[in-house]
Amino acid sequence: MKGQAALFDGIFLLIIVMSAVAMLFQFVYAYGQSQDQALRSAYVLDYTQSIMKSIYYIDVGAINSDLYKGKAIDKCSDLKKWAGSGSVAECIKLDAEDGRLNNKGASCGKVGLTAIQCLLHETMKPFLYSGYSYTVELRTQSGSIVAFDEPVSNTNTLICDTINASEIIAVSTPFRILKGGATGTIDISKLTICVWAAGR
Amino acid sequence: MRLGFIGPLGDDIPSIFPVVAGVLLFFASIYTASIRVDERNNYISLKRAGIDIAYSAMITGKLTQEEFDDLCSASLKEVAKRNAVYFAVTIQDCCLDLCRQTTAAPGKKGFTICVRDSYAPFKSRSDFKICTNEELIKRGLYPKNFVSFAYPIAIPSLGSYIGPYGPIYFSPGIVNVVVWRGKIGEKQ
Repeated sequence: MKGQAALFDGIFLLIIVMSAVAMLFQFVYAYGQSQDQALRSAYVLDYTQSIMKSIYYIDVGAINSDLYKGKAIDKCSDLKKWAGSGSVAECIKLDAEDGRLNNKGASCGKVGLTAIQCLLHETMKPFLYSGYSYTVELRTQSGSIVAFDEPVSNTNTLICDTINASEIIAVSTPFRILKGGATGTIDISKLTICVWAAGR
Repeated sequence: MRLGFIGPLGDDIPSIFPVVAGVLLFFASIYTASIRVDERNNYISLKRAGIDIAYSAMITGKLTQEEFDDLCSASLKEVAKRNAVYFAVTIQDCCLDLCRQTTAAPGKKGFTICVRDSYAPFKSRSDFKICTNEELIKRGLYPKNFVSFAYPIAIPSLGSYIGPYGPIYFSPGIVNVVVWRGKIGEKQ
């Protein structure tokens, strides 16, 4: 009887050890995941910031490649003829002078909406193939939305407020628009890019 | 009937096997877990170092060769030194080798795929020098394990028209940041 009791003690110890090991592996599996998630978000944020900074320099005529040819973006190749007329940011500002982003403005303002659509279509490709989505919105100083004739997004989402996702990364930049031409008033608008993982 | 080894020691012999198995399992698990935690820590710190270096490289939205050279010696190498990592930062034209249209079968549509040569991040645009603290990269030797990041940026191209920066205009480019630990050729 004493031998059986000792054997039970041993088996009981083994059960305790196995439970401890199970908990240990559960901990190890989860270890670092939140840090990894934070670093991934930091990467998406830096990436989006980098797009936002580069639109002030990238020439509108430089966004024209056969790579852009697709269903709704054949128009991107037309941007070539606007080479040298301004950066993407300048073209958006010229386009938005009338209070809408509709490819109707002075000079390269005639392709402001197309320019931002084509630039984001290209630069966001690595994220799109990873299941992310994006949208762009422009708000005036008073907070009202500047209407776009077509969404600058890979979905039909027009504004960031309507995104249904657990985590949204948004990067904004002050965007001075001269409303009403050269004699008009300066409206300090805000251009925002929102990025989110679809289905999360 | 012949009884087995009975006595204070004999009674405990059967229990030795589960006890030994339990102790071995416990220590083996601790050892495996510590290796996994170390690997994870190393990966996270490497990733953080990469993001640190990339952040320094992306301070402005554009990079010319002169700015790249200044940044390399003044900032990037210092950040890498502080994080105790090897790194390489290269600049490429945007996306030319990132996504390709597949050849379509007759009557079917091709699709776009993103494929990259594993070592593409180490290859710089011909007129841009590579910024690194490991000279072996320039001789075509690459580390086995590395973490890489790519960011969009405006890079100068020579245009046939005169823009605000002269005959130079800015086009979309990619900054590749690659980080790793251990000298190339050594165990990493």
